[in-house]
Amino acid sequence: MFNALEVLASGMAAARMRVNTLASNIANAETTKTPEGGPYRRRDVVQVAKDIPGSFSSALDRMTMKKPSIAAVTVDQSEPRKVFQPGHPDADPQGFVAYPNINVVTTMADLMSASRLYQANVTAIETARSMQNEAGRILTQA
Amino acid sequence: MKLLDNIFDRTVSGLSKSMDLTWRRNQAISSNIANAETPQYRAVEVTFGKELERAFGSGREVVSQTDSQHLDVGQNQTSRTVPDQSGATKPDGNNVDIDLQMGRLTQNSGDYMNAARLIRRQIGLIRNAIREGR
Repeated sequence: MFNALEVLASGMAAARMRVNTLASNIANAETTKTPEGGPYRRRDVVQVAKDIPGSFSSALDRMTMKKPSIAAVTVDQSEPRKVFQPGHPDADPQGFVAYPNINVVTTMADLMSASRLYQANVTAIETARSMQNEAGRILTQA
Repeated sequence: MKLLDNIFDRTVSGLSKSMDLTWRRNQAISSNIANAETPQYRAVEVTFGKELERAFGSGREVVSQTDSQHLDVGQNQTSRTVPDQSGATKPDGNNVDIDLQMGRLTQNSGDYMNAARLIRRQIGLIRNAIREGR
């Protein structure tokens, strides 16, 4: 019981992290100046599947379930997109302004998919709960 | 389960075995849903072996394999966690088909809850008998 919920809760946490990162990318798609200098750089999450912890779990549990987890958030190191905008406060001497390498349309699509994934995890938690409720009724309402 | 079997024949122990297995399957489906976007994650599924047949059967007709060279008659197969090959592998190496998993989630939880309801009904019958139908 706890393992399934733990795995699904990790799924929710990972999906939420993904949503936050994608939202930050969309919000900063046109940000040309950051405290670190230069334009905003795209963030990507690195998600891995971990074995569930040994205490409270059987070998069969560990074979059946893996726990998603965000291992790292990477910062895009690619060359920024250069747009010719002479007179822009952040323009270089040649008149080019560096913009983040972010495609708002694909990021938006990823965002929608991540939020659907979050909902899928919530649905699975609700399902596990109704299963447990039904099992509990054997005791209380037989 | 001996005592239960005497009271309920084998129905209740069969149904509780069925709940065990569907719960195990629910764990596999949950893991697949949680990892639907994890690169390199491979989906798993739980295949049902012959435990259910054994749990519901009278036990008399069970054929046992007396020699390892005999054909496997299937009575000793147990439920296992196996790779789920039903989804296509995406470029990131993940092969979870989330729509399929959501469908299975509903189907499987329905099976579990129906088994639980049937157990409840069986116990209700016994209770009814104890109360002499009143």
